[in-house]
Amino acid sequence: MKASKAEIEIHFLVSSGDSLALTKLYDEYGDRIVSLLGTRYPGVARQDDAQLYDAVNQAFFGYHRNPGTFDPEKNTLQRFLEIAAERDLKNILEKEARQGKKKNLPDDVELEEKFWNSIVKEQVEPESQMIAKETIGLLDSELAVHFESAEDRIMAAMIIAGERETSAYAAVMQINELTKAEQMEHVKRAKDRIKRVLERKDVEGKIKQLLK
Amino acid sequence: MSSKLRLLETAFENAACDSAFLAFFITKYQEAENTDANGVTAILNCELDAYYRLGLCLAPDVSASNYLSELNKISEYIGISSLLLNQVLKRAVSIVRLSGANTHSLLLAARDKDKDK
Repeated sequence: MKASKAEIEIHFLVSSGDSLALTKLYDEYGDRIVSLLGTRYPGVARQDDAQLYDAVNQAFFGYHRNPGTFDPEKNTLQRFLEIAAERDLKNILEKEARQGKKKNLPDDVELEEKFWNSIVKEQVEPESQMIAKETIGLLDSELAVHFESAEDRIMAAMIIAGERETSAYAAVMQINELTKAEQMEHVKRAKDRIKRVLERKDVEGKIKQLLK
Repeated sequence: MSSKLRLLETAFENAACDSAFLAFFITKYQEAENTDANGVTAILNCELDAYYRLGLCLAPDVSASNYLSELNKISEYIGISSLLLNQVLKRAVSIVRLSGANTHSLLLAARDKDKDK
């Protein structure tokens, strides 16, 4: 099915580098494609809808950067964006699954599964205590580059270490007095925001280099 | 926050990493003026969704001859005052220039100098 006249107009705006092109793309297709992905992947929509947004953003920004990837003679723009967003969502989910297996820990560095917990707890051996302190120092200084608040830095370190308990994050955010549902909502939003910074700035890659 | 607004918020955050977009300049403005999205929406007298949508527009070149027409086009589409946008954008551009945040051209110039040596 060919692109409609309205779609060709948007495609022309994107191709010609019009200043409003990306905004118009979001206005026209953003919400629609998020809903569509949400319907096709209800589990993702329920658990972590930030992944849906990431997928749609990757698809839209990708098309905006390379409009030549869309051929109006072969497809509608809506269908093209749907396919791109679904492909990006699958990539995100696969990446997450791989990282889940690795527990987000740096390669080539021997750290226990409960790395963060273990370095927060008192170490008995002076040598391992020193290594832990040095590691925390490296983590702190790298995270300080990307996060202004101490709270964000602690939460970023917890995310990197694979901490999943909402209560642990709620304690850092000092929101224990809220209901569980409210805590989950606040924690999720904060984690999504921090994860985006970690991913965008490749903070984990940089920490990995430092630890090597 | 609605799904639409959250999508726009995340898109704005992506655009803020790229100096081609207004989101980049708005974010630099916020950092320098120690304000946030709510502060800028108050200055621009607009809603949050207009603020995010504005960030997704390509930033007009303040020194280009078509600057005013681009500014008007963006303001009109987003539904904000071009005068207010002009003030924020020009201040943001100055901040970026002063802070050296727009390092791309400086880096290219430095690289060219190295080549000459």
